[in-house]
Amino acid sequence: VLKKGLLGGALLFFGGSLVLALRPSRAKKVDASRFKVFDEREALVMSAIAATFIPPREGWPSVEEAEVVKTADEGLSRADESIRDEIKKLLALWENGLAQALFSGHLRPFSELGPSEREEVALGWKNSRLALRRTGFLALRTLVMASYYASEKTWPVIGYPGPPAGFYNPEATP
Amino acid sequence: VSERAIFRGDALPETTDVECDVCIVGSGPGGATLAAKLTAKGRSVVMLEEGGHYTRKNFDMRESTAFAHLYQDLGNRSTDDLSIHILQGRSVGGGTTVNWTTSLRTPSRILQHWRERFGLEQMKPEVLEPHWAWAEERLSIKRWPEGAANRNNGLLWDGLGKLGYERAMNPRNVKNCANLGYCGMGCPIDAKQSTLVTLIPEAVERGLSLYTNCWVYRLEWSGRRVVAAHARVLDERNNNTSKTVTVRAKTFALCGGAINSPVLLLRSGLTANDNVGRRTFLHPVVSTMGFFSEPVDGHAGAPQSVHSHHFSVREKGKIGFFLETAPIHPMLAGSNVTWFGAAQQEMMTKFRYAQATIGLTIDGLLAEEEGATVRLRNRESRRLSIRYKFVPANWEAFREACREMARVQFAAGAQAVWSLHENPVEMKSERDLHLLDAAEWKPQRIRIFTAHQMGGCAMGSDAKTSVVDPALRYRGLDNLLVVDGSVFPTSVGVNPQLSVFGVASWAAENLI
Repeated sequence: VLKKGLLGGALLFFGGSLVLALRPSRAKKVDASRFKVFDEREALVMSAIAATFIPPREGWPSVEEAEVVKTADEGLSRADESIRDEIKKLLALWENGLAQALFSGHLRPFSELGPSEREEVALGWKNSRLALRRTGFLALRTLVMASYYASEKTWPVIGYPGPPAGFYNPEATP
Repeated sequence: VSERAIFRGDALPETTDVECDVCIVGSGPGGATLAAKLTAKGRSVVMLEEGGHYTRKNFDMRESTAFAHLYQDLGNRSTDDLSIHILQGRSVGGGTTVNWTTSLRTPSRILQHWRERFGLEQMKPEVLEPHWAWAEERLSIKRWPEGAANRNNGLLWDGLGKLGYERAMNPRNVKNCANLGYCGMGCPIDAKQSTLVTLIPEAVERGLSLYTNCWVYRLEWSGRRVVAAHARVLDERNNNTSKTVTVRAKTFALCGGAINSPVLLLRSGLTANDNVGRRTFLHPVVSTMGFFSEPVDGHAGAPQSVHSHHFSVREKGKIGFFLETAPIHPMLAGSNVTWFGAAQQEMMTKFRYAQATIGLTIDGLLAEEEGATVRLRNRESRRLSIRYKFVPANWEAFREACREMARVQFAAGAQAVWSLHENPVEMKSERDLHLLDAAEWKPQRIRIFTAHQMGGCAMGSDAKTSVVDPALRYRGLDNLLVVDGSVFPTSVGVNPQLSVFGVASWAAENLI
C-alpha cells in the first residue's frame, strides 16, 4: 500500500507541474492582496474547495462571510514552510485539468466546474485508492472546517452560544 | 509571583549565556516538578520552554486562540498520513495548561508489566505512592462529585450504570472550579491547578530562571558529558530570530514530553542504538457520537469527569481500552465530523444534541506492537515525521471500543449513534451494532485522535533496547536525564499526567 501511495505521489506531482495547471481560470477573481500565503489563483481554488465542503445553506454564513480563505491563509502563514509548499502543490493539483481528466473525466479546472461536478471530484479524492490523495483530502477538509467554525458567525446556526461572559478578564494580573 | 525571573523571548538580548547546576528543557509536569523540588534543595536551575508564557489574561476561551498559542503545530500535529490527530500542549505549563484535568495513578498491572518485561525494579506502587500523594495534595486532586457532572458525562455515567459496567468519577486537579468546560483552552480563572499556576511560580519564588520562546535545537556533548543546551529565540509567530540562548550546566534534564524529547536527542546526534523515537505510544482514541432528544451541550461543564475501565484488561492477545468523554466545541467538532457538504452540515445542526464518548486504546503491551516512530525530516526544519504502525489488534480494539461505546449510548437513551468513519456507520438502535463489522477499519477511513503521548525514550534495564537506564540516565552520557512521559516503555492505561508527576517527583528526590 505504501509503495503504491508513493508511486501515486510522484505521478500526481508530475501532473501538477504541467502547463494545464498554469492556464488562467475563467472563474471569478479573488483579491489576493489580502493574503500572506495564497496567490490569486490559490485563493480562488481554496474558495471553490471551501464552498464544496460547506455549500450555501439557508441561514448559514457563506464561506466568504465566514472568511474561510483568510483564516486558512493566516494559519498557514504561521506553519512550517514545507507545509505551505505542500498545500500550494495540493491546490494546484486539485485545480489541474489534466489530473481531473485522469481521475474524474473532467478536463476543466476544478474552479470552473459546477457544484455537482465539484462534489464528485471531492468524493474522488476522499475515497481514492491512493493514500496520498486521501491525505490531501483530509488536509484540506481540516483546514476548511477549522477555519469556518472558528468564525463566530457560524456559531448561532449550530446552536453554540459562545464562551460564557464574566470569566475571561484581559486585564487580569498573572 | 515575581515576574522578574521569567524572561520572554522578545525581551532577551542578542545572546544570552547562563550557567547553573541543572538545566531543564520543558515546563510541563516533568520539568515543573523537577524545578520545584530541585530549587527547594538549593540548586540553581534554569528552565527553557519553547512555547510562550500565556496566563489567564490570554485565555479568552476561544479555540482559535488556544490552538494557535497553546498547542504543538497550531493544533495540527498529526502522523504523516494524517491518520492520527495529535493534540499536545506547547506553552508554559505544557500539557497541564490545556489538559482536561483527569488525574489518575498509574495502574499496578502496568507497573508490574514494566518490572517483568523491562526490568524496572523501582517502578512499583510502594515506591511511587508517596510521590502520587504529594502531587494529589499539591495540585488539589479530588474526585469530582457525581452531581456536578455535565450532561455529556452524566449520560456516559447513566449508560454504564444501566449495563452494569464498571464506572467511576474522575479525580481532577482543580480548586474553586466554576464548571465552565473550557479546560482545553487554558483556564480563565486559574481554577485548574496546572504547573503554570502551581509548581512554576513556586520554583520561580525560589530562584528558578525560566526562559520562554526558547527552542532548544541541540545539546552539545563531548565524551560522556553534555556541555551546553543551545536554543534559538522564537518570535511571537514562532519564527526563528537571530537571538540565541546557551545554557551550561552540571546536569541536563529533558522534559519536553514524548515526541519532543526524542526529537531533541535526534537533532543532537543521539540515537541510543536507533531506539530514540521508536515505541512512541499514543492511547489511540476512537469516538462515537450519540444523538439525544434533549440538548447535551457538550461544550459546557467540566469536560471529562467520568471513566470506565471495564474493558481495560481483555483476553490475552487483545488490546484493552477505557471509556471517557470529550468536550464538544465548534472547531474540534467541525474538523473531525467526517464526510463534507450538506450531510456534514446536517450533522453540525445537531451540535447541541450530541454526546461524545471516547475509547482510548491501551497500546504497547502486546509483543507485536511498535507504536509510532518519530523522526526528523531534516535538521533545519522544525517539522517532524511521525508514523504509526497499526497491527490487526489495534483495529480489533477500535471496532470493539466503538461497539461498546454505542451500546452504552443506546443504554443512556441515544436515538442514534454515528461512528466517525469517512463513510459513517449510522446506528438506530442496539440491533444495528453489527453494522460496525462491515465498516472500513483502516488508516484514514476513521478519525483517530490522541491527547496522550508516551514513549520514544524508553527506560529499561537492557542497554540494547532502552534509551535511558532505570535511573533515567541517557545511555552513554553521565549528566543527561530524561524525565517526562517519553520514558514510559508502554502506554500507561490512564490519562498520563499524574504518572508523569509521580516519576518526576521520584526522580527529583532520588536521582538528581
